[in-house]
Amino acid sequence: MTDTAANAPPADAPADLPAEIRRALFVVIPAYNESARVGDVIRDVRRLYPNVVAVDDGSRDDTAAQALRAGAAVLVHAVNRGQGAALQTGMTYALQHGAEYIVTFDSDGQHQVADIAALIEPIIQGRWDISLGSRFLGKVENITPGRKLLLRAGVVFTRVVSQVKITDTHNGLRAFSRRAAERIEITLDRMAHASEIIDEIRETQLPYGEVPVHIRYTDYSRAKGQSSLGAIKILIHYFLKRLTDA
Amino acid sequence: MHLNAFQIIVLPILAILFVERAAAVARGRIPRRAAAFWMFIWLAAGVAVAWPNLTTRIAKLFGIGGGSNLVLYSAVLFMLIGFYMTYVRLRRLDASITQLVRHLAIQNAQRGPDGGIEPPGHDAQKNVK
Repeated sequence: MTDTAANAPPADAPADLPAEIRRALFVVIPAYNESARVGDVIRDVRRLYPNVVAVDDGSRDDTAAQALRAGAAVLVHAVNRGQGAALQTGMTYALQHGAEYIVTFDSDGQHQVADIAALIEPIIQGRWDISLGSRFLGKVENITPGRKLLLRAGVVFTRVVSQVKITDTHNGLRAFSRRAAERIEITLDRMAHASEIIDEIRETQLPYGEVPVHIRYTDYSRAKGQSSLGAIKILIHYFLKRLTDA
Repeated sequence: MHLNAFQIIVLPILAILFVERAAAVARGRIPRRAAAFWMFIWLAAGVAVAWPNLTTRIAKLFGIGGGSNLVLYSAVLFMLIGFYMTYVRLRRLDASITQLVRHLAIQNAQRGPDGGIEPPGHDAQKNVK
């Protein structure tokens, strides 16, 4: 990454987490055709958190090889199943390997390793079981007006449909206690899982909250992200699931 | 009985579809029940095409205007049910594929040269989802 300096953790916060907690913390990184970034992202995370599970969701490039070289445990989906499926695969693996805390982290470099400590803090203290990153409580760099509007719409949508009041519903940076990760099951394979996770959080009735995080959009992450048309597709997937699960 | 052009075109097609299903059962390729469903559909369609007045009488029985309306309504209804069943089945299939892909991915997990995972010191296999 070109902007490593900005990504370096502040000397205080993250390193404060005791080593046994950092060992019990697994960072799950779903990646699809992300070979350009995934290696740097994983190396960055592993400087503080050694347990990284990268899920290569059937990439056509050498994402898996890059992730492996960066030192992650690499799970490869033989065929592309979508981000929701990849997250669940990584979480299942982390649980099987004794994770007490699971953090999900995007592979395109938009999240900051420095935010993980604050995210996990309320869970370590036992106040919450689920901790959600919020870019709107925190800071967003280089967000386009269209994207901002879209994300705001997602928030309003969630308030109406799921009746959960949070400020940023579609943020890939989340942390779960073991208890929460065991109870939550992502069944929506594709992108609608963001809304599904929120529904599941509500159903588990486990305590949750939001933590301000810093999102840095780059031309790269923007190009890889969801289009507005994609948002409509996500909406359809989500409603079809709610309809047929009823 | 005098056949019109529509009947001359459609009736043989329906007959072929019917015979094809019957043959499939005879060869033991598909479950009897699934074939029976389609054979019934093709037979009913054939009867409706061959004797249009029959559908008018049935339609009147249901209080619907005309025979062709009855056919149209029930066709749309059957299609909607069909779409729904296909959708549900697709979702189940999708879920199975994901489970299979997940199982394989976890079974074939690879570790980097410096380990990747340092399991914390407790029974890693407990409470496996």
